[in-house]
Amino acid sequence: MTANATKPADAPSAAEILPSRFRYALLGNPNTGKTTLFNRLCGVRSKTANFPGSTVEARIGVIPRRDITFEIVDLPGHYGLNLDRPESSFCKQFLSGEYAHAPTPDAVLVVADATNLSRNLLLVSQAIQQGLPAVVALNMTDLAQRRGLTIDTDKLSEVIGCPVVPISARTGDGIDELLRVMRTPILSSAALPNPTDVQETSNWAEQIVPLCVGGDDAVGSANDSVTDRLDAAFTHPVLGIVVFAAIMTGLFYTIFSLATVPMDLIELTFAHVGQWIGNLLPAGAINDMLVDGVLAGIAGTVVFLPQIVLLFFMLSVLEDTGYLARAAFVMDKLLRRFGLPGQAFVPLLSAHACAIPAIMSTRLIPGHNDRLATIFVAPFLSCSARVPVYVLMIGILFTDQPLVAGIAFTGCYVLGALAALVTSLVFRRTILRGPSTPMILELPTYKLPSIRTALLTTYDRSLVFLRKAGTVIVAICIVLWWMGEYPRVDAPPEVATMRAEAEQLAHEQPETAAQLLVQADEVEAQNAKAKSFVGRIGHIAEPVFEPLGYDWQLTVGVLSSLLAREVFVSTMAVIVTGEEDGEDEAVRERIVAAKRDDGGLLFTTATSASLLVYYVLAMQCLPTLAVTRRETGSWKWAGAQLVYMTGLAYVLAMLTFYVLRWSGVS
Amino acid sequence: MAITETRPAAVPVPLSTLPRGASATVCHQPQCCADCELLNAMGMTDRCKVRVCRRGNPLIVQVASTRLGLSSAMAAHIQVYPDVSAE
Ligand SMILES: Nc1nc2c(ncn2[C@@H]2O[C@H](COP(=O)(O)OP(=O)(O)OP(=O)(O)O)[C@@H](O)[C@H]2O)c(=O)[nH]1
Ligand SMILES: [Mg+2]
Repeated sequence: MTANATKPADAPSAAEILPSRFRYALLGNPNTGKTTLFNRLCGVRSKTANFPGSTVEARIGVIPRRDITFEIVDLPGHYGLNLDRPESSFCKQFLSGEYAHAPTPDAVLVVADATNLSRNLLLVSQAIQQGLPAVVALNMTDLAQRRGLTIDTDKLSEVIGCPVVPISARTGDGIDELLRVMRTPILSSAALPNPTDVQETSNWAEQIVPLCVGGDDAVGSANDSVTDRLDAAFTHPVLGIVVFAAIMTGLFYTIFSLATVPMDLIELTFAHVGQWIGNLLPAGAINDMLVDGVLAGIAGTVVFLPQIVLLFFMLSVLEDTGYLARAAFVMDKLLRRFGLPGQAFVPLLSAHACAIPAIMSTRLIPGHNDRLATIFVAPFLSCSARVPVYVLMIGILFTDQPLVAGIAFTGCYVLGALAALVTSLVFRRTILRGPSTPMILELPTYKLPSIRTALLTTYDRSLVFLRKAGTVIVAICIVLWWMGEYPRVDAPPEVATMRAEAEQLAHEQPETAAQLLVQADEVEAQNAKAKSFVGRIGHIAEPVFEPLGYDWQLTVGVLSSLLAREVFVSTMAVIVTGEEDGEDEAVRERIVAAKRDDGGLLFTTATSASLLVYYVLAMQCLPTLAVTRRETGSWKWAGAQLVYMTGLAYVLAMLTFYVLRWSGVS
Repeated sequence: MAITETRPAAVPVPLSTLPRGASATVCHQPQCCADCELLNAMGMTDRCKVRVCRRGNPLIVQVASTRLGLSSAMAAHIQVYPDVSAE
């Protein structure tokens, strides 16, 4: 391998004097190591950018140097600029400056896989003919060396008319040289094939490869027998499914078991911070709003961060090894029976943490109807925001029966998955009819995962999640808090009576007095709740939810969590005790013992089961609807999602309630 | 990739009919299938060599150092000349 990149002598240099900020578009086939290179160059100095009006997400990073700052855009991997695919057309628009929401890049950095040069040259030749000066980074040279390939980069550079730098994004070899050459990208003036003619381009590539590549590049290299054996196991119709089930079980087990410690810590911290703020500020509306509105809202969301961090870390590691593509391959057969493509698998998997990143990752699904179906059903899968509701309901239903409770927990996940599959089946037979795109999936070579990449991906995803917690959820909580607190009403006369009684008893029976005071507070809070906007709405809407076995208090719980499910638990805590924090054990006990206005138990078995079914299926998440709208381009699909999911939830919850009642369970 | 002399003058057969481990040479007609362009761009060009790594639906083929998972419906549309030497 030649150590240094060369620049053809007679080629014009596009950037003799570079501006102080120079913008590079990072382009290449999928899995050529663009993101790995991007991470090596930019590290955490990057952010995920959504490009409005496109279905594409890309990361933008900066590399500050002494005299110049490079700005790098990590574009999605694709197989050709002229293909009829969203990534391809976006990249083409982006390079040509037709894309209105981002400035035209100054140059293009093409990443090519040294172990698969003939295929990569197709995109290289198209990319350097886009009228932009270019640098080619020949990546994976460590792998190429191990396979005994030698690549003459001087020769390659001469043929294509651009500098070519051999690098390994994984080990960091050649990165300094790349940064040096990136100061002088070159607009190629070499004789290149017509970029729109794939056949001509591939003929050209096949002529070049023997000129530049020595060693074994033929079908059947040394690595193949290992890959073959692994593939045979991972894609085996029976063994493949077994391996898949084992890996997924391990994944979820790790998420749920490892996450409990940090989750407890977060809850504890927020409880302390709440107390601290509560004591610091004078009592009043601002104090209440900060502690019961803002802080409770943030705490209720941030609690799920450990699970999300773990999920994305492990998914990134699995993806990096090359296994996820095999899992998609195995699942293709199953998913296809229900009208979904194999590529839907990864989005559906990540929907178990949160539907929002899941819906965003459906961008990788090529077929339009396939993608719509996946977006539509993804929120059925049990996301981590449902977990607190499951915990509360299952705790009530199966107290002191850990095994049954565990089965019920799994049952909730299974119910969500079944609903997703059946819905997809129905939709693909009706409104989303049409052939599903047959599978073409590249199975990348197996590699050792890069922990660095996984950490950076996790960091990035967590920031997106926290931003949501910091904006949408806080806003919802403030509004809810306000509607629950206002209008302020006077306490009912019995409260004054109880307090007076307590004062009299204070000396003789201090314990009874204290109890009376607590009771008085509860009655006052309940009265305030009932007369508040939320309470009034609850009473008005009560008849709607009566068939499901809910009284006005539960109706308020359901309505208040319309925008975010996790709010249900804290709303119930506020309603039944007049105190925040549903996670507190004592408070939870009081929720369990809460009464209806007629004196009956609030959470009967039938009601709890009905609530559980309702929360598995209902679309109770405004941010998801917003993302569906953005990804499908219309409110139509978001609206349909809301009506369909909540409708299904309503009907099945009602069924659950009545079946239980008829069979003698109250 | 150079075209090897193993290419027999036989009639082409669909890729989906090849046994596991068989090698063959692809013979693309333009617009042979809806995703012809994509297949080309992924490296499965006219006259390229393929090897069947796994049969069935979906199947796995190797083109140069790229492994592709293909549905058998799609593979049924791809015509290949099987290598006599590899069978
Ligand atoms: N051995 C080796 N592996 C590498 C190198 N660069 C990247 N990889 C690995 O190649 C795989 C793909 O890397 P990514 O950076 O995700 O590729 P990408 O081009 O961003 O892929 P897409 O975003 O899917 O287009 C990962 O498993 C990396 O760890 C390298 O120089 N050497
Ligand atoms: Mg990438």
